[in-house]
Amino acid sequence: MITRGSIAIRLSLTLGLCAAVFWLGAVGISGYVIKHELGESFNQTMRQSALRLLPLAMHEFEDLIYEGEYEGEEARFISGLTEQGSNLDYFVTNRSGKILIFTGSDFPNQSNISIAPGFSTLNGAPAFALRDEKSGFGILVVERAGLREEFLRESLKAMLLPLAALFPILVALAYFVVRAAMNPVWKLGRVIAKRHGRNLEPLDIGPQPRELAPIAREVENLLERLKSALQAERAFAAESAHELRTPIAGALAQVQVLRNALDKNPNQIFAIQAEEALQNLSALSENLLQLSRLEAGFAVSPMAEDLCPIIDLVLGEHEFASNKGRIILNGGPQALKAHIVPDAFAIVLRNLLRNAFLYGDGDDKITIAYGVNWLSVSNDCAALDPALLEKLTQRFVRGNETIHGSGLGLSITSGIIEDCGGTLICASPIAGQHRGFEAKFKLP
Amino acid sequence: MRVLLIEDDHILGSAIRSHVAQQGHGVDWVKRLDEARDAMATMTYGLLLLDLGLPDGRGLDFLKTLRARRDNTPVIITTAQDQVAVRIEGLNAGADDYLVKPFNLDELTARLAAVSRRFDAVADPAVQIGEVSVDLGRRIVRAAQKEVDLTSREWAVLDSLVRNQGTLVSKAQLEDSLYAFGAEIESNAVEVFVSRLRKKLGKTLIVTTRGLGYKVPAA
Repeated sequence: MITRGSIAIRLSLTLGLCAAVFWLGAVGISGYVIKHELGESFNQTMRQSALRLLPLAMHEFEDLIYEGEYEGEEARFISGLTEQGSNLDYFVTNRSGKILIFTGSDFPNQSNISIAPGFSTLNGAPAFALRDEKSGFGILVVERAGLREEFLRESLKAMLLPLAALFPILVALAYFVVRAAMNPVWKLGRVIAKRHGRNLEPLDIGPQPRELAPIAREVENLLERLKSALQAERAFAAESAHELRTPIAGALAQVQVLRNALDKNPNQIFAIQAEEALQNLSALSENLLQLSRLEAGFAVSPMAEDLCPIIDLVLGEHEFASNKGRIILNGGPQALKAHIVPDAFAIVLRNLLRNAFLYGDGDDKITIAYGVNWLSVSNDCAALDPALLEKLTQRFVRGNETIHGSGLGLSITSGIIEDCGGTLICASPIAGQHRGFEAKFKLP
Repeated sequence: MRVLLIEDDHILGSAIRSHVAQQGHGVDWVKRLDEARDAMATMTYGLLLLDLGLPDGRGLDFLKTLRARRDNTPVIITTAQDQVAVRIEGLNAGADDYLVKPFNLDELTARLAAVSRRFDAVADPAVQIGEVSVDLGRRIVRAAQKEVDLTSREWAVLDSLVRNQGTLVSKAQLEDSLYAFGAEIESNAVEVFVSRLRKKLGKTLIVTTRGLGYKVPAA
């Protein structure tokens, strides 16, 4: 199965990103509100400044006019305030719009200025003009260009900077919280992962969080149903074997009686051929039944089985007992034990022995060797073609076309061994020799 | 030897009966366990061929009951159940051998001979009685080095006598081994077959003890 990224990491990143997006949204809205409020506040400042400064300027200029000192004078320039951080410049004008006094960093390039009272812009800078209709004096307060944007930028920066620091902290925090919250999920996952063909026991993991309880319950139900289905399939396969064997046995026995009755009769050959056909049918149906049992997953045992008595049992069967002189049994000091059901092991051993008897040369010995968790059956024969050796465990592949085998024995054996978590290795020639064939398997 | 065949499949049962009879054994064939119980209540059998799945019960339960009442009649289980556990259960229940269907009738013959030999404690299947050699396992009899053909009923009488070599076998016992062949037998059937055996194998092979029975001399 392809594993995708961790849910905890994805969830924490998503949570972090969502928080960041909301934060940015909040900053955007705040920026909009701040911009509006700053505009109002700065406008109010300009207006209040104009309202305070114009009477003072009028008072100053009225005194000068009255004392005859003002006529024809150049406009007075009050410099340096801007350099001290002043953000507002103002111009005081007379009725004709002539600039009487002004502040700022530089002289204005015009001597007259005419702006309608109220808020407006002057060279892109916000401005507020106020005029005293009676005296004709006016004042124009001009705010430094870009001041409001600068304030807005600073405010936004102040709101955004914490996000940069908070984002990784938020993600890390979310990660640890999610991890802690997902512990029951991981525990459930680990328990489910332990279930397999050999272990279909109930989960038995105690009370689960509300979100996981239905999953755990359904998995348990599924395991139960799977167990029942497998048992039913195995029982069906075993039952089918029983139902099929009896009629074949009857037909075979009848033909053998007929063959004996036709002793020395020329027609006996037909009975012999019928018997041979039935023997082949019997062997083939047996192999097909084994295949169906294999498909039903009957091979794996939940507990380690002692297989030595099964070796004795199989060797005691007529088929092998009548050739006992050809079989050499080399058992290790310890019993052969593995998670394989005795019937499956018996099938494996029978198939390996039949294979050795079928393809072994003449009356040469067949060796069964075994250790704690492995078994091998070897026989003497000419070394096999490596290409054929590779295909031997495939269905309907025979080592020698002149020999009548079903071509299923090694395939079934290999399937059973693989089901039990082991591997069947076929070697020819046998390691360290120039001839022979060895089938060896090791089980976990 | 008289054999009780307990098998519910008609085709298989008839073939086994025919084959075993051909080997010179008397065969009674029943298809149910209650019939088997009745048969065993009235007759002593030399061997039982027992199927496990029968219409009125499990063959294994029948075997266990048999052994529980200390009946040591040899039993060969013939069944389609090849599971190791069933086989072990069968052997543990007291079966002397176990044959999984389908099997060769020759294999059945060999098992039958081996089990009955084991039961009779006859170590050597080929018994030498004077100039006559009898191989009970392979059903071969030679007189003066020449193989002699015997009919099934002649074999049944000879088998019964050789298995009890040196011991007197009553006429009733010999009749039992002949009854199993199904046909009615005459009151002098035993005398007829003993006479035929003497003709084929020599007059000294079977000794008559008047009013008691017959025996072949101990080696």
